[in-house]
Amino acid sequence: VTYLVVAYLAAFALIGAYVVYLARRVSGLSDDIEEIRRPPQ
Amino acid sequence: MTRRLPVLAGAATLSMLLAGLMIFLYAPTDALEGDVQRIFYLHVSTAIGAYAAFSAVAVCGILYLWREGPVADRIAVAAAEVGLLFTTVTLVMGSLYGKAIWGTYWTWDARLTSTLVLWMMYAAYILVRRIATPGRQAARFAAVVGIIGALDIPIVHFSVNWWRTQHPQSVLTASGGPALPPEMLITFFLTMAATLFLGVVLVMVRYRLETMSQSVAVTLEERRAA
Repeated sequence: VTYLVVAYLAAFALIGAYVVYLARRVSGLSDDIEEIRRPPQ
Repeated sequence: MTRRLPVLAGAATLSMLLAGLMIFLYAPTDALEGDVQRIFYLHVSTAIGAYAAFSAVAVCGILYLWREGPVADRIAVAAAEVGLLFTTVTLVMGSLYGKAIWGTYWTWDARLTSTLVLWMMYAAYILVRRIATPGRQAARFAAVVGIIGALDIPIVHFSVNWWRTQHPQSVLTASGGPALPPEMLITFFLTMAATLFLGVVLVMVRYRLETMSQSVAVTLEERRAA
């Protein structure tokens, strides 16, 4: 049972880590979009 | 598409939760291997998801080399990352399954080795995109790597038939029909559908991100140059 639990925890941790990576990229992009929206000085 | 993405992401999460419930509560315990056999459902589903993702990378690579359309290149980038994620899940789960059944995390048999090679090919694909000069050159180099990498898919799939391996042959394509009871088959097909759906949604999100990144990068460059 230990291997079963560890296997599913690892699988969902990997998928979750990729979702977090995508979310961080979106967040970084939002900062760039903010910079574009700011009027040029 | 942007407005539909959160709804699709929610639906993909729910479908994976449903698959989890089926795996742990509905599917019967295997008489020979016991509870650890439940690893099979997601292990095989992510492997099939990876085949699909890498096939998409190869098809988009061919389309890119032929027409040089940005859409094909963006789909390829997105599918390569999702395929690499799914292959990593397959290898990690398979390794733990192997330890429980064979007593070892890894053995250099044809199925495991060819899957590791597949993982390395698409890790190289992502590296090429980062190392090569961004734009047309990176896309063309990566397309070639993506097409060559896909040649390993049939080797991975048929390795258990072509060579004597520790890894078992497919129970789904066994002669005389799938060698699984109906409850296990239903659970497997539902998990596979949920995994493929999750893969498609992740590719859509990553595609959208790539499109926005490219357009923001161009605008920022123009703004800074002005």
